[in-house]
Amino acid sequence: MAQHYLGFDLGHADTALALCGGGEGQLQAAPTGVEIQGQSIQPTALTRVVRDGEAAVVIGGRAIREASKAEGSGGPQLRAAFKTRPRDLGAARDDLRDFFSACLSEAAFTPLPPLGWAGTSITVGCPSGWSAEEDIHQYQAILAEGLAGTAMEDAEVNVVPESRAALLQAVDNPHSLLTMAARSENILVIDIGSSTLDFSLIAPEQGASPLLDAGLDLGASFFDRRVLEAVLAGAPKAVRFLEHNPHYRDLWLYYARRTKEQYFIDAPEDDEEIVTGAPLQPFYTGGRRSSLEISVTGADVAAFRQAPYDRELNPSSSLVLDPEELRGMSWEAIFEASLVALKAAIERRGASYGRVLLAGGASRMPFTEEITRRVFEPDGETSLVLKDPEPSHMVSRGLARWGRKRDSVEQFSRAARDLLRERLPGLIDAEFAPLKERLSAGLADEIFDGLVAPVLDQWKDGAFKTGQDVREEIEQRYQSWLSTGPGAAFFVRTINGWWRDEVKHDVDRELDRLHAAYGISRDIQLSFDDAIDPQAFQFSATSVDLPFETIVQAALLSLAFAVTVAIDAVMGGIPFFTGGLAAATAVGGKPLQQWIARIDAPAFARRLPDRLPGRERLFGGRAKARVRRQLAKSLVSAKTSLLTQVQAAITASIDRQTLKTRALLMGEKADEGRRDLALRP
Amino acid sequence: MRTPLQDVLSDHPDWEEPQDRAAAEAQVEALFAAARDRSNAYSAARLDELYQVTERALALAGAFPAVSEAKRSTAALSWRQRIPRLISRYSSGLLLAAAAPLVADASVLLAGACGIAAVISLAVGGRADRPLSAKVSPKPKAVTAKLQGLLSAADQSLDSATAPLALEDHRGKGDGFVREDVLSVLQDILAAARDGQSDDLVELQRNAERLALKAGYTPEWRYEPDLFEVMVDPEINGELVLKPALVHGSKPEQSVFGVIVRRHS
Repeated sequence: MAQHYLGFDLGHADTALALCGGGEGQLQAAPTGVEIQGQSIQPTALTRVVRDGEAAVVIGGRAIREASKAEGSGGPQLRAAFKTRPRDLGAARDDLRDFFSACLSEAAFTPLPPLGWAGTSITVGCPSGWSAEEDIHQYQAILAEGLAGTAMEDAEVNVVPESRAALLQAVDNPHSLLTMAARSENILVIDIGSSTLDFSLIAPEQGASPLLDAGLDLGASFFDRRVLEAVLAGAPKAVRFLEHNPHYRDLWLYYARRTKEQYFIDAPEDDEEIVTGAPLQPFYTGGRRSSLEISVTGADVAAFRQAPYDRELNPSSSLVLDPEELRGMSWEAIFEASLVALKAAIERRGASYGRVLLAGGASRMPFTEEITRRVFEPDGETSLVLKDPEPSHMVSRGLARWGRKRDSVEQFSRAARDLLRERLPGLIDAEFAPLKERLSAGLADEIFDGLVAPVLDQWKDGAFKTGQDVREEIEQRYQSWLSTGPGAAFFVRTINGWWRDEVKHDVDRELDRLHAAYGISRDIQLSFDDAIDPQAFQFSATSVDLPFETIVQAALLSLAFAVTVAIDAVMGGIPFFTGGLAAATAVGGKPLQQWIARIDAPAFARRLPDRLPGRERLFGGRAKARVRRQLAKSLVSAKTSLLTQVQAAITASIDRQTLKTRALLMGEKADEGRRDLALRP
Repeated sequence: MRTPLQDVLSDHPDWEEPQDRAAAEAQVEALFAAARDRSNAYSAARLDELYQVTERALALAGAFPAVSEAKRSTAALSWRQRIPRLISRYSSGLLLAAAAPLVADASVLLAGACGIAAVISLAVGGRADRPLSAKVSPKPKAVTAKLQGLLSAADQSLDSATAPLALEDHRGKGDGFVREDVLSVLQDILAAARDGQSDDLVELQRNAERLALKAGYTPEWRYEPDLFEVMVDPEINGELVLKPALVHGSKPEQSVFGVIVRRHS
């Protein structure tokens, strides 16, 4: 396990970092935000400067400030909005790489010695529509390149879809409203970002990639622009200032955004209350100093909600939305129309949704939740739409959780498998006697009562002529019993009972130790109550080395003696036939037994055993006891085949139990194997 | 607020009374599984831990043979209540023993037979007094391992209950915005009080400089491209420092840019 797991939400407009620990006692601790330049969220922007003769990268809010300074004197420009598919990055590839590296350098986080950055795993988010084979791999390579040659180069870098991370945060949050039952249904993630609105329909525990990925360029930065425009509308001097100083617009937009966020955080009830998230902005124009207060009121926001949206929307084709029809509509109206289109798209695919998860900082705007409820909770349901209390940090925290959970699951799975591989042979060896006892008793019941007795009843009724016919019928039924459900179910039931009573307690403490070490036991339902989980492992009764010959031989011989005893009883109690049979089986050997088996006993002889006093005890007790004894002696040969299957079953059980978590993490089927997304520079 | 377990129980008021241990265990398992489905991942994990404790406690209890009703009733009898039972158990043997000398005169052989019969009868009666369960009941198995397993599960449950749910906050004091505002005000004070003619302004400037130095900053008035933003105002004559730069002594990246106004960029 790494010591630290950093979640890096590198967004189109904003970047946030979160951290969670992998050390002892930290495995349940929720991720916490990591500040860059004293702030938990920074604009995804950078500029390159020369400082003391050396090139330096400035990021975030400082980059905007720096760019304002530099542009005024004709220096380097601000670089922003460089998050795109790696193949489309072009020159922005360097921006992405340098931004990633600079953010980590400036983060208020120092890994603990002795591992340092080598004990740090960094998980970076990407849009869920990116392909694992191409986009994610290339993206990882670029990010890792940014760390090469720095103190951070030993850190592990993973790239994970943001929707998965948001889902993981929603699932693992101790106060989550997402129940375990709800996880078996599809979950719709609606990520309301600054520049885009993204939809992902995810089947959390079924391992599939998103069932639907769609979106449009409906960004909440629209409101930032409206805030600034409204402020400028009342400040003609500031407008005149911008005419000569256009480079200040980015900076003021940045403060407009902070003001908007502050408004939704404060959520004032009075529509006239003024909210600001920025210091006064001094400027100089017309030979005089002035200042601009970037602020907003509830009345302003109400007007912005009705204002027509001002950018191209580029909706995904799967939404079947006509951009022309949306032209001139307000942000809110487009948001609602796109949700309605999304719902229709889900229905067209024959899919469904259970819970709807709102993510992204802009989901803090209360009307987004109201609209989402209106669309997705039409029948008055009130628990379908869920929202994180800190939506701006949902993805970064989910990414940090992702790294930790991935390591925990993989390492626990490996350790548990190793432990059981090491301990099982010895345990089975030590406790094989009780297993043998259970199996022979159970098999005697199953075979004698379920197979032999009914066939003999039919033999008495004349359904079969000879002992050979009876034997063949029993053999056929036996094979059928083994190869179909009941036979396997018998073994699974018996072995699981033995596991619970005789073995489990011996591995409980060691498994507990692993659970504690990886903090994993509880969320993957790994209890090992059963050695064989029928849903995870198809037990093959036919491959168990069972002494069928012995079973049938014992049963038929017991029967033959029962018949002879019955005949002798009728004939006056002289053990003539019984003695003859005993002598014949002792002396005559197999040919004689085969000859006896070919005898077509007359009907009256077949019925004679029924008249025998104590026949119940003879058939139900002694014959069965004989079969049981023979089985107990012969089951030793089945030990190896049983051990092999129990080991395979436990391995399959571990795989199955970790499958749900793997699917939640990776969005892939377990049988496709684990994709190792880790890459070191 | 109802817990998930209470919730499940209230949804199944007609929960059947289990008839044996296996049925009871299956019912406990089903109860926990149903409650788990209604819980979030965190609560489900805690329920799993509780289930482990419950399940292992049941396994430990199941390791001991059940006390039979007969044995329990015998053990519960007082000494006085046992006398009739003892008399009936040993009476035949005692009678035979007493009869032996009586018949000895008539037949030594018969007396010997009575004696032997008495011995056998007493012995059989005495054996009947031994607890049958010691012979019939299996010895409790793996009790220590099961007990340790139970304690281990309880330990884990306790560890989870007391584990920290949040890391020590790695964030600073979250004062990024406030700090920016304060430094901006400091710049404004320094600019407004610069070359102040009144005592008030001189004092204000000195105080502002003192505060800036205390925070690690030195005011810088001379234009340097790295330290100053440039505002353009075609109507200004010459240059004007709107705000001085605040240069951080040890962290140049934390320096705050000054603003200079010029006619051209």
